[in-house]
Amino acid sequence: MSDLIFVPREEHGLLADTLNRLLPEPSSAPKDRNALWADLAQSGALAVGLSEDEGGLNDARAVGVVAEQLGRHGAVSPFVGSSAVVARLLAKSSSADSSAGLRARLGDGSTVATVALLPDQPLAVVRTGDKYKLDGARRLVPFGAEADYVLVDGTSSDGAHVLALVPKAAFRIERAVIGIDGCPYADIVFSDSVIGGELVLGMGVDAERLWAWCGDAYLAALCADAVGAMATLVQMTGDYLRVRQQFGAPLSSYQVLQHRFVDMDMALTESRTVAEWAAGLLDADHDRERRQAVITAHFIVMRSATKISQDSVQLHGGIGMAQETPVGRYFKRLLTLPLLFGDEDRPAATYGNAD
Amino acid sequence: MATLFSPEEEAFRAEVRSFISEKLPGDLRDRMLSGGRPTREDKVVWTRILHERGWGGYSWPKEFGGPGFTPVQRYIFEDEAWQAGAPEVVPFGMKMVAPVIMKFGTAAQKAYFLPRIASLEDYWCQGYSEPGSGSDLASLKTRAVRDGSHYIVNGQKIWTTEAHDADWIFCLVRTSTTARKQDGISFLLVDMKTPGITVRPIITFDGYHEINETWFENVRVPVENLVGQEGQGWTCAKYLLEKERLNFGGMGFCKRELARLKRLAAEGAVAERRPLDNPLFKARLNALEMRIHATDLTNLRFLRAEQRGEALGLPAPYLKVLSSHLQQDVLELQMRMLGPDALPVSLAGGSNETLDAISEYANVAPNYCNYRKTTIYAGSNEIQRNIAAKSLLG
Ligand SMILES: Cc1cc2nc3c(=O)[nH]c(=O)nc-3n(C[C@H](O)[C@H](O)[C@H](O)COP(=O)(O)OP(=O)(O)OC[C@H]3O[C@@H](n4cnc5c(N)ncnc54)[C@H](O)[C@@H]3O)c2cc1C
Repeated sequence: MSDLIFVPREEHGLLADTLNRLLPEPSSAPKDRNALWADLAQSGALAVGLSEDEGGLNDARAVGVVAEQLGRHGAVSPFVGSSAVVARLLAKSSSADSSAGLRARLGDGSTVATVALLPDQPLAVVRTGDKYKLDGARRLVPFGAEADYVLVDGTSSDGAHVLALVPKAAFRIERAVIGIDGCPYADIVFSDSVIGGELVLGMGVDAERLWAWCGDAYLAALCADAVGAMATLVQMTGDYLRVRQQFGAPLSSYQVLQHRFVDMDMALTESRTVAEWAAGLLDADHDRERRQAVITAHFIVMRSATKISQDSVQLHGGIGMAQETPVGRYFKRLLTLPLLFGDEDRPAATYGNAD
Repeated sequence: MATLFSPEEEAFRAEVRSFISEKLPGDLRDRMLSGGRPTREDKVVWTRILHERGWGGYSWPKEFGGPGFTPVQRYIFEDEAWQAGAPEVVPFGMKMVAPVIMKFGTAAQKAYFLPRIASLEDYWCQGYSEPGSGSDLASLKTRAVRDGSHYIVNGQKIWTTEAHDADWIFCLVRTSTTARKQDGISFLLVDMKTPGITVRPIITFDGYHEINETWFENVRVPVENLVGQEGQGWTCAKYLLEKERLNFGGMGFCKRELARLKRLAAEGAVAERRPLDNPLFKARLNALEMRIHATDLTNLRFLRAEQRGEALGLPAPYLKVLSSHLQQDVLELQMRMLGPDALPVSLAGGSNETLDAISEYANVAPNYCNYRKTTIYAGSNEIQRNIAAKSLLG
């Protein structure tokens, strides 16, 4: 596609407007998750990452637009795992033809998929005939207890990567928790879990490459989500500084607060730049280019998120600490990034090695 | 060679240490050393233990029933107590209202209130802030109108820490609207059981109940509960700030949480990820530890000056700003170090009660959230810098 990064397509604006109208006000209490999901499905937002034939825009940048709106409105949903990663992965993998039905269901929201992002526990995959057997565990899978499929990266007996999409009938929920970020997570266990060969999306080097793409796609969407959440915090803080009076003058008249606020907006601006850049390169032919962009986005967004979330609370004063004030909800939402993917030290350490 | 502490002070430290290790209940200590927050009962239990030893008002001079510690002894006492896992005493009583009563109170007030504070018979809270008056405290509007032998109080306080646990509240109230706004303020002690007081919880975004709205509707307060003269409340409040400028618990907290951070890094599943072998994490940890040292020692240096009777620098704003950031930073590094292990805070469908059932890690992210308060309360850091700048630059 010959689209230019930083030049939005017309569809991007329309999509953002639609979601902006559809989603609850950023300051209102979060909507019931099922109702929200149904709304998203109806708006077509869950399918934007799919091809034009499948009702989408075949455009990672459009996925970023949706993620940003979700972040901006504080909407809790499995969009990133299901639409931004698994649905698009299916289109990239060798089983692209056979997975058309599943992609359609992910696109219309009737099926939900997620990604087991933390591959820090053993997960053995053994081939038996035309089936595969999985044994092991994955922890803190986002929306793990609600998803119909979970994407996992396991290891075959000869040490090769295996990328598999496991239906929920084949795993067990060990523990379901709520994260500080307001998202549900589940620890899941596979024991003698048998899946059909069509659900193995990649093997060996192929699986490794696809899995790396999945991580980057997740991270890029999370960065876009964070940009949305940060935009809301900047907006709310600016509004508050203009109305709150102390010492007979609005807080916005105090220079030290003006500078703090400008720094917040500057951080947001830079974050948007790198988030858009990363989304634009997500489907680049060269993995290296994509990696560099995503790692940079992770670094810059992480720093901005810390600054903006902390300063938003600070500049609100006592009221910023109250649960009733929406600021805290966005503050906590912005913790997904460091807790799941690491803080800025991680990208700072890996930046040069991106191959 | 020079030393930080004299042999006598070291002996005092040893005495405090052995007292605490003997008397502090083990389960309470373990909860405090694993990031737990003390309950009202915890504080009562611990204060009573201190009280038996004559340390109930440990920051007080002998004439008011305290042990008469030197400033450095107080520092040592708190340093030991924090690191050993003792819960903090209720600051609103011992450290805030008590010194004001000692300085401005009547003989009857001293005789009645001070012993009850030392034994934690009375649990105090602080009623200064109002919805419209935070940083600009002197603009407060809660009215106290004289009616014979009583004041009738109407208005609203907010962010009142532990009002739901408290027996008494000390309030700044407006007794005159004609004077300069600072001069129309009075310092009033109010029994929380008085009819007309309503306490409504404010849940903070970490999910806990520690602060409140406190409403006053025609609350009748006996005139003998006025501290100092009518209109002298601002003087009392300023004196309180000066009294409290040193020796607040912040650095003890930092050292305790730094120790927890190191323990968490070296234990269990987290240790398998070898955070201590990660040079970036190690550098962050070392930097934090050195900063904690520097501020802790700065505190000590200020105390040495105080002990010599010298005024040195700007202890109040500097220690507040430095210590509040360190408290936040140590909790932030705990959370970042745990990474995914810090995510779960409750069981799905469960309540906060299930937090501890998950793991010791479940309080780390909420504590990080909660401690955003330290740069806001007790005079926000911006206000502290305003005060310092005015003093430095005129
Ligand atoms: C957890 C918690 C517990 C508390 N407990 C108590 C308690 O027990 N009793 C009690 O009385 N109060 C308590 N407080 C209230 C606390 O003292 C106030 O929140 C604080 O004084 C700030 O006031 P505010 O919240 O109205 O914020 P504001 O004064 O509205 O300030 C908002 C922001 O503007 C900044 N600002 C304001 N004026 C200026 C200026 N002139 N120049 C530069 N920056 C400025 C502030 O620093 C802050 O960042 C508590 C607060 C918290 C968060």
